[in-house]
Amino acid sequence: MDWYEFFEDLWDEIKDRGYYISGIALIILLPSILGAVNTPNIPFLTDIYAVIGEIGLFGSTNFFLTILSLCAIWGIFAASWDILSGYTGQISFGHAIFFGLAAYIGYWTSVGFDVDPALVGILGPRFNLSPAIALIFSGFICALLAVVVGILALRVKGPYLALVTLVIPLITASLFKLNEFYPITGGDHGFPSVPDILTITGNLDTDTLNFYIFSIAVLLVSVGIMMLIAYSRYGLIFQSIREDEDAAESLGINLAFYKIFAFAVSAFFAGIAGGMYAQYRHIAVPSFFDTTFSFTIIIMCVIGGIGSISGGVVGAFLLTIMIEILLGDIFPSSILEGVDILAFGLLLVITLRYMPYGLARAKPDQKKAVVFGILFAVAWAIVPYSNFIDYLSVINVENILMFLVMVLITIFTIPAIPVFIVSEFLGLFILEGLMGLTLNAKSLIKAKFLIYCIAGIPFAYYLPKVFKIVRLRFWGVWPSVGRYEPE
Amino acid sequence: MSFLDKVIPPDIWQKEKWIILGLLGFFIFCVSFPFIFQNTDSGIGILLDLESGIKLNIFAIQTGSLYALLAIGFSLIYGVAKQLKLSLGGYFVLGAYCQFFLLETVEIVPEFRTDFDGLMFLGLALLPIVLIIVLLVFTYTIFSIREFIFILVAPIISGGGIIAIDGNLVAGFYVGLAALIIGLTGWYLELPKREIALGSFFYALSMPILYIIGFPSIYFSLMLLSVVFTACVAMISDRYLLDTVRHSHISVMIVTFALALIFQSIVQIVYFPQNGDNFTRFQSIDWSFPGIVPKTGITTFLGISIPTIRIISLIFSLIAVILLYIFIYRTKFGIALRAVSQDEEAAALVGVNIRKTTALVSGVGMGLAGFAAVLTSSFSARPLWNPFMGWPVLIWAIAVVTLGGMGSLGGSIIAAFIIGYSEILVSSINPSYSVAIPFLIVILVMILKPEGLFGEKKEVE
Repeated sequence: MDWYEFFEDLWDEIKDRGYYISGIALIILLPSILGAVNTPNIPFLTDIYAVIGEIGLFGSTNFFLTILSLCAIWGIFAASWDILSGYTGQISFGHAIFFGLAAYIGYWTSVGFDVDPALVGILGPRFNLSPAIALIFSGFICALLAVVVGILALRVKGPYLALVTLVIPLITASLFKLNEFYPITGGDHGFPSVPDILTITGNLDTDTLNFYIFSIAVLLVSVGIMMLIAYSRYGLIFQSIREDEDAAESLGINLAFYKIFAFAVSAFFAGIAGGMYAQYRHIAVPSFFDTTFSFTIIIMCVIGGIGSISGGVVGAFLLTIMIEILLGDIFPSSILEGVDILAFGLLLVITLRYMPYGLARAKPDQKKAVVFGILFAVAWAIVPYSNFIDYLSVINVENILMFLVMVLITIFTIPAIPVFIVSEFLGLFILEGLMGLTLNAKSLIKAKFLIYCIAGIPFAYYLPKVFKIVRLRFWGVWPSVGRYEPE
Repeated sequence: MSFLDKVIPPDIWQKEKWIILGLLGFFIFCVSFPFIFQNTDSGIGILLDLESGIKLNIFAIQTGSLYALLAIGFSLIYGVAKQLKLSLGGYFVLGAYCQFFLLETVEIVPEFRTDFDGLMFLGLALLPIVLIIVLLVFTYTIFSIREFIFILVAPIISGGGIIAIDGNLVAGFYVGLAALIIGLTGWYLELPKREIALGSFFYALSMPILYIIGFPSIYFSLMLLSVVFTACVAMISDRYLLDTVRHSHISVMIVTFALALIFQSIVQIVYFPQNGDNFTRFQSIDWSFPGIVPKTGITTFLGISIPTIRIISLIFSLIAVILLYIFIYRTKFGIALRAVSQDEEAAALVGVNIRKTTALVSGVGMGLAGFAAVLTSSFSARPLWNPFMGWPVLIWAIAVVTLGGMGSLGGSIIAAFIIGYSEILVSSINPSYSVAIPFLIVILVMILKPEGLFGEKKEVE
């Protein structure tokens, strides 16, 4: 393939996937929309933010940017799982091994092996490398480790590989927790202070924004590299290995090399994500090896669609925002962990039951149902609070547009009114009456949004079908009642 | 044909000679090790001691039998339905907490009566009523009116008897419910009506009589109920969640893992609202086989003192394994089950209902996990009572099954005892290393001999 063809293909991909471009543009423009930096304001979007900001729906700007950085980190991690498991078919249930290990390697290389000199009395060798180099370094070490794992994994296939990889991080975690290794690994509690990659200025706004820009940049670069790999000849070979190993081998593909290569690439980016996560949380602890971490990215990839690098990123953004912004405000912190896991499990089961290939390759009516259900829910949760009659106090084009949009949404959701009222009653009864939560204005909106989503998405799915049945019943040819329509 | 040929068929002896010899040597070493070597202050020394040897052996056999219960279920499901169900740990949690919930409902644990909040109240007040209505409607629709009355007699006798003797309404209700479920299970297994009637009546009459004698029949019924509940949840989830992804190993694994997460998080939300605070409260209560065995009870036999709970658990798990053997090798359903595991299409041609068989197998396997949970819940040390206790269980089961060979029942039983022995022996030397054993075994076996000790070498579809 020559370069001209390559760029032509790339341009075709870009043309086909306009929503990538819009998503990237949205991510880049978000700080300016949220008012974190003084770029030229976009009037229409600031208006929406003013509506949201009155209620403080997303918390402070800094909080929202922090969450978005977290989304970016999860996005890298999910995409790295997808290139190994979605493309090559080597299902790994223990990707957290690279994630957790990278966190530790980042600490070791940027600080040293000693944990607490006052307690242990051992001052280990110090490296004092810069955290940025440590990040790359941990990526490469993870890739090396993945080569070893990959060589071992050549012997086991399919579900057995999944079992082995499920167990490997647990071994590592239990080794890291042993008292014998306390000076190296920090035992049960791990390392408390992982040095930050960016110089801390002390100004919270600047720090948050810097970390946001850094993480988004890393996300774009690494996902770009992974997409280049996935759309190149390597990606084709990976897919052929996934579909049929024997056929691939009979075509002269070196199975061992490509499998190990997929492991190495995947582990490199997982390592970078792990190092960034450790810097985000400022800790490196054995719980980074948890199976929950490995499964969170699987859930993200399943929701976004396995076998498309972007699917994992989309899933990561959706899930992280749902967990951190939606559920984090509704439920008290004492049961939040359980609620998060419950949401993960239910989403995974429902997604695999109704759309096994994720959002990316769902049936058109399912996609429409998800989009419209969420739109209904947003409209119904925000419209009563936004007081949108106020838009007419100042007459200009934007305000009239906004007003018309709100009116249209309200009209379109009229059939949903009984469903939403009943679901709101039931849901609030469960949350407030049975679980005993006290909801303030902000969490009430979010709780209502959640309830409307749960009720609205099935509703938006079945409503057109009911309409179709009714239409056919009274005006169509089925079920053989009504007017006969010649072709 | 000599006796030895019956125990080890000649063809297997020819094929697996070294494995059998090695296993024999391993077990002889394991049995004799605790008698000879003792853990003294200066490391391990040679010191003959009968008592600790017998004690360690009993511990090891009991641990091994528990692992066998877990692993048989896992292996059976893999053999018949060709599914690797990672939800084993989830059903373990479900069984344990279901029993806890029932005990709480019957007001056996008085400490908990004061502090139940919303969801608990819903469960305590509404669950019995809903259960009654659902079961009555269900039984009425599947049976004719004569059979309906006939099925209802056993619950009324047993439950009414318990209420008349003890006066505890809820306990009577649950004992009656267990009788009803015995009848329904018999119907589901397509037993003849005469046998259903016999089983139900035997149960119905024995429960009040045994209660008078002193056998804790209420707790026995609760145990039965929680096991059956676990099995039912497994069967329902198998039917409604796994149908669309049945033929993809990976999707099945992901869905079942999600199920385990769901059960775990429900337990976490309902029973552990404050982080860390309540994790200890389950350990401080003596509710293991309440009435007969206090948690700290010790049986002294021939001068050797052993915790009673371990002996009881050993007996129960042996009974379960024997019942399972009878179920698989002596009943009609067992024949169907083995037929499906050998060749699914051929079995379907002969008229075996594949979906029903696979659902039933997942019910039996996960019911065994629930049973193991009910038994294990009586130990003080190992399953620390928390919602996450399912994961170690899953890892142990995976270790046992990979060692014994996927889908091979005898292999998993032997492997369970290997792992039980090695765990107990290592932990008698240094407890902190006993955690790493199953992991090492899984990895080594997977890499050196991926089909396990007794597994068939099969291509994964």
